[in-house]
Amino acid sequence: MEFTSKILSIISQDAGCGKTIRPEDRIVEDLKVDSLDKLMIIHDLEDEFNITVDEDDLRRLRVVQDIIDAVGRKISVANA
Amino acid sequence: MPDPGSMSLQRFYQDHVLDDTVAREAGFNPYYPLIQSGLDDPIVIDGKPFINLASNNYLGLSADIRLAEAAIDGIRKYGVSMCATPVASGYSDLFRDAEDALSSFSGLEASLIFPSCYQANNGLFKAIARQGDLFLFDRCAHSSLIEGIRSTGCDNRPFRHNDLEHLENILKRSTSHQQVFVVTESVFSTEGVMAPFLEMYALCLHYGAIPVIDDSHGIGVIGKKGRGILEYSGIQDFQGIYTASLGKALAVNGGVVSGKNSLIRYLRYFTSHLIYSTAIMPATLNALLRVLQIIGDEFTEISGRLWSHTNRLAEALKKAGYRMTLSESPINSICAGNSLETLQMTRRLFDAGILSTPFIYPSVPEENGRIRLIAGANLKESSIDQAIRIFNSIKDENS
Repeated sequence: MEFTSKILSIISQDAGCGKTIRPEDRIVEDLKVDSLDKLMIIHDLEDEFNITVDEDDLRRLRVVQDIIDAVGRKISVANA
Repeated sequence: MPDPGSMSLQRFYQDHVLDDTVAREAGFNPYYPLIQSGLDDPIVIDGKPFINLASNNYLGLSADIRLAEAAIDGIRKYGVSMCATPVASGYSDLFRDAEDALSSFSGLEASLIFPSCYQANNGLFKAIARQGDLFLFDRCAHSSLIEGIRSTGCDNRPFRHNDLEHLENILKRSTSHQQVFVVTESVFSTEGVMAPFLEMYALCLHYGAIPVIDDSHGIGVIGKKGRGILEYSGIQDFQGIYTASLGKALAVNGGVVSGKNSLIRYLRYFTSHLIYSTAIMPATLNALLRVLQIIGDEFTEISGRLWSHTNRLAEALKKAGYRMTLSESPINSICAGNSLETLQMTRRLFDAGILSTPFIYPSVPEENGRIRLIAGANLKESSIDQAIRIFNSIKDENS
């Protein structure tokens, strides 16, 4: 599964009840992600991509695409 | 110039005002209904009779005269309160007998009785946690469990609701922690769905994790003799920790933590919520002993009534076109839409004489409002008939 699909799948399973998630979906307003969902997403992204994500990293993000970009940056730093 | 002290007070009180917008929009606040009777059929609210589908009084024993008499006997012998914490002089022979009876009932070595299950769940984790431990918990676990876990300051991580694969993936990776705990509930209270606990227990044993199961909606309800999740799952010599509310099917109040003898002995001295709370009332303990006898003698008959009511209501609601959760327990839960729609529906039921329990955001996600219905064994057939007529007529009005 490609990078973006993996992230969308994690968000869908952790916070979207298996619904299709789009990059433009707003994290709080559309997906209603709460603090427990957020915690689950963070840990699953960490496991999937071998990165470390702080809760603060997610707090500033507004839409799903922001998560995809942030994870991409973390992976680049980890591989640099 | 305004006095800085009064400004600060003013700000404090402005910051602590209830936002009841949704209730105002729905024209109805379903919380804290003023009940003017015991849990009889009907119950009385504002001087009017109501069919009670809201209480966790599964076996309908709350207003049973035998429990009232046992409570009075408890008071006659021990008075109203022991006026001390259990560790001081609040621990009576009645307290010990009630703990022993609960242990036998659930099939565990030893038990501790707390003033509430909230305190039991909150206190337990702080007492057992060590630095470097990890708590895994079901995403939909009760807030008393989550708050208890968070109070330990240990690493904690939710797993997807009832998802064994997700749990196992996390357990596989959690090798760097001292001790891993897996925390869940037997029956999830908003939807009536059950945990796949036998499988979870097997995972815990395989990965060396300690299972913690909250059986609040299972004790007195599930299992052939009503002894809860361990009986239901066929688990013997349980290697984990068991907690339950005594204020649901057992019809008294308080909470219990049960498990291995050595652990319970340790918790007796190291759980602040127990040792700094005044001991539970003797009336409650004697009524608890009596209710366990009654369940032992009459469970099949009482449970038969509970399930008959539950099934009749479930079939009627489905037939009328209500969208229901996939409950596996005597909980019928209507998928009622968003918070406003859920409160509006609750109001229609209330206006027609049915007391129900709505769950709205943040207890559940905003679009997943639920209305929980528990048809206790004490309800009359005619009340179930009447409830079904009301549900049908509300559905007809809406369509």
